[in-house]
Amino acid sequence: MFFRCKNCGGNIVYNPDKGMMVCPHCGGEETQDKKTGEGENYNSLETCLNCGAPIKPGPFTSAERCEYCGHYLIHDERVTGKYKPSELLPFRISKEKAKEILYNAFRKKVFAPSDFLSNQMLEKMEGMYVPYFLYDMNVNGEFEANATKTRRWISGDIEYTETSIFRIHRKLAAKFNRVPVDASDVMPDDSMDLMEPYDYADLKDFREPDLSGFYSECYNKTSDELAYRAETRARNDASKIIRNSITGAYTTITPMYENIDIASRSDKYSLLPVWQYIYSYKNKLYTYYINGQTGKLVGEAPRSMGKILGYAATLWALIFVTFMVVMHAA
Amino acid sequence: MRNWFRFFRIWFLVCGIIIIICVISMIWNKQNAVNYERVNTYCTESERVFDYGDVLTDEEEDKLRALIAEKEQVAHCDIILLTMKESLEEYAKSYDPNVPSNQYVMIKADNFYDEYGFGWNKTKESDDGDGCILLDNWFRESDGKIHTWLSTSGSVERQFSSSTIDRILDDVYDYVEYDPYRAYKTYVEDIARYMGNEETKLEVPIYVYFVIPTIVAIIFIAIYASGKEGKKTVNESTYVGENGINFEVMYDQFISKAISQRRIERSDSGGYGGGGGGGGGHHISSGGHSHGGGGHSR
Repeated sequence: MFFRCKNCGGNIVYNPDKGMMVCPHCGGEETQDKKTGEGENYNSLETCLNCGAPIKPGPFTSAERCEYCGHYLIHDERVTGKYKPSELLPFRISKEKAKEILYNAFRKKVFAPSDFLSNQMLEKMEGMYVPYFLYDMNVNGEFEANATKTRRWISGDIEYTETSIFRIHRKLAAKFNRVPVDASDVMPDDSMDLMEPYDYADLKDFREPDLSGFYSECYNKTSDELAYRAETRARNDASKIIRNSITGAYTTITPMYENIDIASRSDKYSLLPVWQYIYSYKNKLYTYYINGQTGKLVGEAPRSMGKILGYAATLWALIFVTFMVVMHAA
Repeated sequence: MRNWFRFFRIWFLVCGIIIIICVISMIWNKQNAVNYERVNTYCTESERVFDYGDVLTDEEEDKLRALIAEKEQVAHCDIILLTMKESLEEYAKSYDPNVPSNQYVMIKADNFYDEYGFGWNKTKESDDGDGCILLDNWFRESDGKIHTWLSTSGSVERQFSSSTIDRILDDVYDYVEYDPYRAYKTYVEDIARYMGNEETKLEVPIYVYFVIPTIVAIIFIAIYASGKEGKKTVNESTYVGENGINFEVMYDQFISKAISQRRIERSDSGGYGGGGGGGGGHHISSGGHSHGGGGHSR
């Protein structure tokens, strides 16, 4: 499917600034008309519904841009049925804003190659709805430890050491809400983890037009297959919460018993927004992700070795000469 | 290139200002230093190298004279070298019958200096003028030794401790046996180094000039080369919400208490007295002038 503007016939897309469908051609708002392919021979994964050009979507691609006509296509079978997301967090950061964030973050990196932040390159940035499972979990934890407090004082020629022994006991019932696990193999887990946190207050029920203008994937693995990531995280977090609750000024704490159970678990399949910028330099790909809701940036600036050496040499020479003169004058 | 210049403009400015200040201060210092001239009107003797022992060639003497003339401007004191090759026993004993053999040279050196009236700032007989004299007597006295004496006066006497004098004599003795010229040259250079302007110069090993900029450059690279963005901004309670944490059991129970004791070993130790400093071997010469100094024998 794709969405066509009723006024001008152009491809209407979701506009993060206005928070609604806006036609980039005529400015029409919420003027979308859903176009779906018909006929027995039609396969939305093989030809572009708009121009008929052949397309080759990845194994999980659910929304993409046709290279030939530039229309944003949504593959019906990957957003319906078992692949129908229950929630979607719409983009709030527009492409212009995302470019600005990247530019401001790296413009002072003098070692980056000159075209790294050129508008021409930044224009290649794409918005992606990344498939996520958001897990709700009830976690029970129990913890026991022996602790000591030591006090020392001196009286006359004698040093006294007083050791008090305590027993610590904790039972925790914690409710975890919407622990996110990205369900796309393409997106690196560590980068996606750094995209957090999202503000879930903006989550809304999934509707197809919101995908228009962006790339997207359906989940690559099932929620059961990915649950271990959420559970590991909940266990670690619960353990930390318990340890943080020990506030007495103990000299030593020796854990004796710890057990953390996931009592119950449920999940929702959701799409979360991420801007992606890929920059290629000296046969290496540098990928940048910007949280499409909060604007948080993850990525590492490329470095030009020539620039590093040139700048370092300049600095070296400046200090050397100045130091020489100063020491000579002193 | 434009970015490069823009990036370093503050550096260029700061370093440029520092360099200009240094150059100005150097010029200023130089002009001031010129004013400090020899004011001795009492002694008009311009000779500084008295090679009575004839251990130097004429050429070496000339070189030493030139060196002394140069270093005196730095040290602001008279630098005299006297070599001999004759017994001073009788001479010294005529002044002090109890003088030990290693101090014959002291009496001669002090008297030689006083008789000529050396001293950078000596304007009348009673002044102790700034200066020093190295007497190296190549004659083996009855004790079978060759004695050397460095006598100091005025500012040199005040500034040189016994250890400084020892150090200079050690330097001289490093060479004196096989290359007297080099030994006496070292003496002149040492005086200039320990006196006057050259002494205040900070001695920095040459490698420091390379190490410091290298360290700064490495730090600079480390700071600017790390272009990583994106830190972890979630913690263990991000997804538990406000009411998500409920401790059903939470107690810290006191079990027991134990006290141990240990005797503290105290050791008695006295303090050390401070050592006296400054000035070496002060005495009054037969001419009534104060001299410092010290001797070595070989």
